[in-house]
Amino acid sequence: MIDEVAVRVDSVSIRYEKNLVIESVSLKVVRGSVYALLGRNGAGKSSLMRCLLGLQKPTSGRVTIFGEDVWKDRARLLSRTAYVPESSDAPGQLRVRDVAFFHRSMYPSFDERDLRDRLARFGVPESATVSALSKGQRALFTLALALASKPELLVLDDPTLGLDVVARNDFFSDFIGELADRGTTVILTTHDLAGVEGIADRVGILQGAHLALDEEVEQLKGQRGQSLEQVFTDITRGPGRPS
Amino acid sequence: MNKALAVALLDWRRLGFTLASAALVAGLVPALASGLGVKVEATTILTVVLALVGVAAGGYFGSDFAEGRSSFFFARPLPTGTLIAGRFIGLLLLAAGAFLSFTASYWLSSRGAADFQWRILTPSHAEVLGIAWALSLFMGLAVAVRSRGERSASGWRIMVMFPLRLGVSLGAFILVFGLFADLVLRAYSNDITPIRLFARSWVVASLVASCVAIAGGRTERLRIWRLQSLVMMAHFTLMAVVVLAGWSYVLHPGANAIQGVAHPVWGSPDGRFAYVTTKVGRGDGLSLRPVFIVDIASGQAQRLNADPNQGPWTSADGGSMVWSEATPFFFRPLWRYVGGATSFRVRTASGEVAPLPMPSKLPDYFTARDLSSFAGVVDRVLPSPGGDVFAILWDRHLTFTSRSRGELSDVNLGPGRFGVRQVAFLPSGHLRAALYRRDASGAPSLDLVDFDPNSGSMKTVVSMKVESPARVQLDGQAARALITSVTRAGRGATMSLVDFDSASGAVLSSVLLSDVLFPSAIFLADGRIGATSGGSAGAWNKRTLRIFTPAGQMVRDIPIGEGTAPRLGSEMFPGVLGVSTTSFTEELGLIDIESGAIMRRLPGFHSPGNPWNSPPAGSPAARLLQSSDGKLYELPSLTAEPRRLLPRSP
Repeated sequence: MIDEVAVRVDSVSIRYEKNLVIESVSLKVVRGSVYALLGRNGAGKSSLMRCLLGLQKPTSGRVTIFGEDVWKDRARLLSRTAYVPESSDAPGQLRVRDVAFFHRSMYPSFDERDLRDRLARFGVPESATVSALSKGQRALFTLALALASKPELLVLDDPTLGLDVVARNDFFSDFIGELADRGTTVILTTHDLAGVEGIADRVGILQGAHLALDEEVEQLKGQRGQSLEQVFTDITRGPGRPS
Repeated sequence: MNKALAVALLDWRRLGFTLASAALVAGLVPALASGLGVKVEATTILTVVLALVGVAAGGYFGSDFAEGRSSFFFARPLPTGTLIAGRFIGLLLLAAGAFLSFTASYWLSSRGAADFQWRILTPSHAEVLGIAWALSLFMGLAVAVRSRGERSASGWRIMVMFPLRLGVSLGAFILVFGLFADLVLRAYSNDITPIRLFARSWVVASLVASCVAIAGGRTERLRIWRLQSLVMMAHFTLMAVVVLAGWSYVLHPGANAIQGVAHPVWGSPDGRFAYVTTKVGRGDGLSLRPVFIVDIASGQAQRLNADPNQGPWTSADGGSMVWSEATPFFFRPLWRYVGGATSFRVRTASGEVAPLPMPSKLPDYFTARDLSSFAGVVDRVLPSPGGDVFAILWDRHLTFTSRSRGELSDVNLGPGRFGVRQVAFLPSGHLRAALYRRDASGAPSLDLVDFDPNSGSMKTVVSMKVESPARVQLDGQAARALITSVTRAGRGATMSLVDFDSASGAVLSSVLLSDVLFPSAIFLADGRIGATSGGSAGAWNKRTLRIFTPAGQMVRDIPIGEGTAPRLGSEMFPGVLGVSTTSFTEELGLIDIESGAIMRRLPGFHSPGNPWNSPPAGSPAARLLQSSDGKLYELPSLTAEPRRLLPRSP
């Protein structure tokens, strides 16, 4: 029987020395859904993303992907997962085609034609070094790499950072929608609340080291009658802060 | 394997061109240097090139863990082991590329030259490559993960905790490295193995620390730093335990550790004790030769914790003894800087041990120069009978100090080449010293000079022309001197007797032996003189023992057969001399000086007595025997079997 939950976070806490960033957070992401994890800067979104990918060991708690512990089986589980970091993590001296070669060696299902098509569409030259790309080009290149690996789970850490308005809109409308249609599970963190409102099935808001909200978007709208931005502002502003 | 290769190829693409180009240029260096008249070994340049490759590859690996970059590898389906293996393969690829580039340009530029070598790659190149990679990875990783960590610390922590932790860490490191340096200097100065093992252990530990930190920390920089520190701390603790245990065990052997007796062995002036240089089978087997003080009557042996060749020096009455305590060399400058006592100790007749009153001008381990001289700058210390005054010979100075009166005088012995051959205190309290000098033309002379310790004034008693080397022996009262010197090169040596007639102030000199080979002599208990020689230039193996009156008249000439030169030992029993001979095998003959008869033959033994040390006739120290296989015995009587003292019987 296939587990319907793609990602499960169980009582995860993250601490950096004396600084408790995440305290006992639990959530689950159903297969084929889009989960948006929101929070203000420094709320711990990126730390939780890294735990979710097995890049970082939680101080306590456990994260499973497709039912298996991601810290223990990172390499195997990540062959079905792709990650788009906040900013490109590829070494700047490498050329675009070298990075593509590296990814092709890592993922058995890597679709090179798909990558080339996207790079051509984004205007990213294959012969350029990563450091020579603009911030937007780097973001699109990273995204193209992730999509070409045909992942079952896609984790995006603020992927629209650095993209212009047009590209951002395209990103949300096309890529995420396309992935969702293909049954790919998507977890993303973003500050682009308007963009995510239309595509996310469920939303979680990190505030004060806790998951202050974890609800279906439709249910949220129906019950509160507020936009996602209004809900986010209410939760993250905190009591006693001026409006 | 594909994934590891993919990782390796990334390194090749990032660094291959740069390093291969650098190697290509480096390959020209031997030819360019040769054109300038300088010889540069290709193998040396290759070492530098490969070290550079190691540093670059390791540094890139480490710096990939800087903020925002490490996820490139860890967010992909790449096992950690494959990542490390891939980076190592990358190192090999880069090294191979650099080597081929270097060899090509070296071959093109230097072929045909006289010193051109085909075989320039050695196993040490692989070692250099590995060490450079491991250390560079460690440092690169530490810098990458620590760069933000320090900034995140609060001001209070930086102000208080950082210096505190740095101080404690530095102190612990200095302690361990200081003890290790002491261990190596004292026990392994002829063997580089401990230094090599020690250094390699740190390289291996740094590599293990990096791998453990990468595997356990992945992209979490704080965790990487902690794991890296943890492994290094564990290694440091292990090293501290090993060094401390090694230092305690190797440098502090008990009497049971003695495996054999080495040279020199000498007796105390009162004849009760033997000072025995020993082999203890610790360290490299050559450097560590601790001196044990053996109570001959009881056979009890106790190690003197002394620096090598820095004592014990005893007073003529045997009551006082001076030595330099073997405290760790490394800490001595600091110890002296904070006002700690000198390492020199004096033990008085009452058994009290106190710091030796030192000359005020003597650096005494105060500078790096003192450390580099290993055993300090003190050449010799002579305690006076009674143990209050000390004559300290150091770096062209003769300084007199007193336990009760502090520093008495300091005599600068002046420039030029000279050596102090012998010193002894006179009954008057003055010091008689035999100074061997060379004048500006290089002509040597021997001056016997009396010093007044209180004023430092000096008076030359006798000055004579000699050829080097000159050996001087003074009798118990320093009233007579036996001077042995080569007078004509190739003709053997001459032995003269100088009699300082203190009553008249006249100095009488007579020649005892001339043109003889390998003479040796001692003053006998009754004032007479016994001397052996190995024949003369014309009759090189005609060995004799001659007895002279106190004034130098020969009274007996005892032939002792043919063979190699004899060595005169002690007056083992009153009127009986021990003479060591070698004719295929070693043998000690006990010769009655009145009859010339050999009272007893002891095959396989010799007497450790020597011209500089003649314990009282018939005393236990005069009856010591040393066997050919390095054991020390006492001969209880003329007829008894030798009694073994060291090593102790199992």
